[in-house]
Amino acid sequence: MIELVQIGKSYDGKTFVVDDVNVRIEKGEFFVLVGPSGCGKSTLLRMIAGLEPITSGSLRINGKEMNDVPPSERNLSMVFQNYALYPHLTVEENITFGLHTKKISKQERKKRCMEAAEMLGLTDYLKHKPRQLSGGQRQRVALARAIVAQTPICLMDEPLSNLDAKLRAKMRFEIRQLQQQLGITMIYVTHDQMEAMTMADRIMVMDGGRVQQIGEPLDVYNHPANIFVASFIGSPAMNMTKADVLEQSLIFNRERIMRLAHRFPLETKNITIGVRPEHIRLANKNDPYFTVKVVNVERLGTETLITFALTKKEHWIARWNGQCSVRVGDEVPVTIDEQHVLFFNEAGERLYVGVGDDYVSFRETKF
Amino acid sequence: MSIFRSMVTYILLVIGAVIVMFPIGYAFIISFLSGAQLLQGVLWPDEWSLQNYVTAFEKVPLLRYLWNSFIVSFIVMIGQLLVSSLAAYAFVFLRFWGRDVLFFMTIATMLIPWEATVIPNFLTIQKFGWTNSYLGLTVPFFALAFGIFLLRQHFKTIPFELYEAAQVSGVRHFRFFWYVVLPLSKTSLATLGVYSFLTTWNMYLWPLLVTNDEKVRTVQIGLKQMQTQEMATEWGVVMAAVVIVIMPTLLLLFIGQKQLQKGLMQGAIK
Repeated sequence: MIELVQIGKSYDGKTFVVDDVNVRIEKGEFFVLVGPSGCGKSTLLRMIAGLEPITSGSLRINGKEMNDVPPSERNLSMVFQNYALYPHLTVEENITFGLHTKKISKQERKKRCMEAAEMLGLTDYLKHKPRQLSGGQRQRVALARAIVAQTPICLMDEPLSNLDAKLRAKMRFEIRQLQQQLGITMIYVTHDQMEAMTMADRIMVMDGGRVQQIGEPLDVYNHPANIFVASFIGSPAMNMTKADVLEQSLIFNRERIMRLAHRFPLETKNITIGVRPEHIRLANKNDPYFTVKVVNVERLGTETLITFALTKKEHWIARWNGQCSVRVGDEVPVTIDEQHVLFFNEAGERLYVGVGDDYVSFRETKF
Repeated sequence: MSIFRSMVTYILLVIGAVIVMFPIGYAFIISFLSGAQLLQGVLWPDEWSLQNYVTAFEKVPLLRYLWNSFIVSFIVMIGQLLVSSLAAYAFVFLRFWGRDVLFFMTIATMLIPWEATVIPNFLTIQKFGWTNSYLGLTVPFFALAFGIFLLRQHFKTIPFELYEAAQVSGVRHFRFFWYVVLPLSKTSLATLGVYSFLTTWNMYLWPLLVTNDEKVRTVQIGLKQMQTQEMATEWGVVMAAVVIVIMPTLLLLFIGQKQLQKGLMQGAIK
């Protein structure tokens, strides 16, 4: 179990690149840190590893304070973004290099190495040098090196970012499987929300050095805590639009108006609404609908992405299943169920307002 | 590139080579001339007699000097490689307060001419009672700012993640230094090794100061001895000795050059 209590990191003592991080990671959990580059996720991981001194707060592993313990005594393994393989050593030597210092017998080293190599399909390459291997194989060597240490905690820093898309999908599955097989606690850093969604037991979304939200992937997807999380998680991104509040209606760019089943508090002025692309559907006969002009159509085979103009300035994307026959320039009637509309206040925080069962109704304004 | 241009290039190179090689070639020829022939201004020997070489070995204990020079150069080379690589390791991989200041101070010592430190060094050696010993000839040269600088620059090209990976897996500093850093820096180590061997081999002033005993004297002093022992210097004999003395230098360059070029190429492609 790993506990982070008010962890902060500052290089100059004034600005904090990681600020006030509190989280408890359970044993055997696959925990993913996700955020855009420069959000402090790698720094946080390096602080857990002991490669970066912790400025403030406290890090506890299994209840023991670890702030000043050197990396080698934290009993964890780490996989680096560029694999950090020793270029002059063979795959086998690379895998067992760290074991020599742990007073493990030669036979045991050999045995562990063979097991790890078998698990990752490296048996034929044990005598090769890293430069003779492909990117995916190098990645596996780095994984094998982390496995043979048999540490209860494994840290990974964007391990898949150097691989092509196909291999990445495969390795995602392999890493996840490995983690479950061995029961390791995994802390995994990525900037790819897709990796976070597919691999994690829980994810922690970070931005600007601060934790934005912690939760299970679907929870975070369905109930984002703020605009940042809402737009960062999910692809294509959630549709967002600023709106003016007028009693029980929202007005978009003075072009469209949306009636709601409930009122906002009086002081509310500017809000942002967000709708996931899959929640915008073709209107049925009795649905309140609004017509939109299609700007672009992307047919992906299993689904179709339709870009349409919500207002003159803003484009939204809808995702429909199957291969739709909509064409660019068509006017189509669409509708949104109000329960799927998210509201955010001016500061970007989520507004939880009583949700009625009426449909949201859009219509063109006639100012 | 046109044939004309490459011809011009090669002609220039050949001229350059001839100019550079002339003193060595001339010394080589003189080493086969007798004193009388030399005075007559003969430029090419009638017969290639090895008499001068035999005399050279008889006159001064040349073999002993050669051996001394070899020992001294070898010890200095090992010492410099060891001290420089350890210091460079600390400057690159260890984090400690004042590290960069210390490094720049080390570099700054390169600005002090070596001659300025000769007297204090000599006094120290004398106090230690190290005159006329290999210790006195070698130890003052172990710490070399240039060597530290050269190796530090190379160590900096080693990805820092390798160090971090070693840290996480519990690899100790010395193991990392010995099995990762040194093998990855072979090129620079070889360069520094050749450099320090040759510099020490050619050293003159310092051995002259701290030795007065032929047991530890180096070959450069032996050469000088030949010139001053008699009224008229037998240049043929001296040149024969010179040819013998520069032999190791040339050998080292010929063997080392290929190795060095190979190393440089590998570094470039990576």
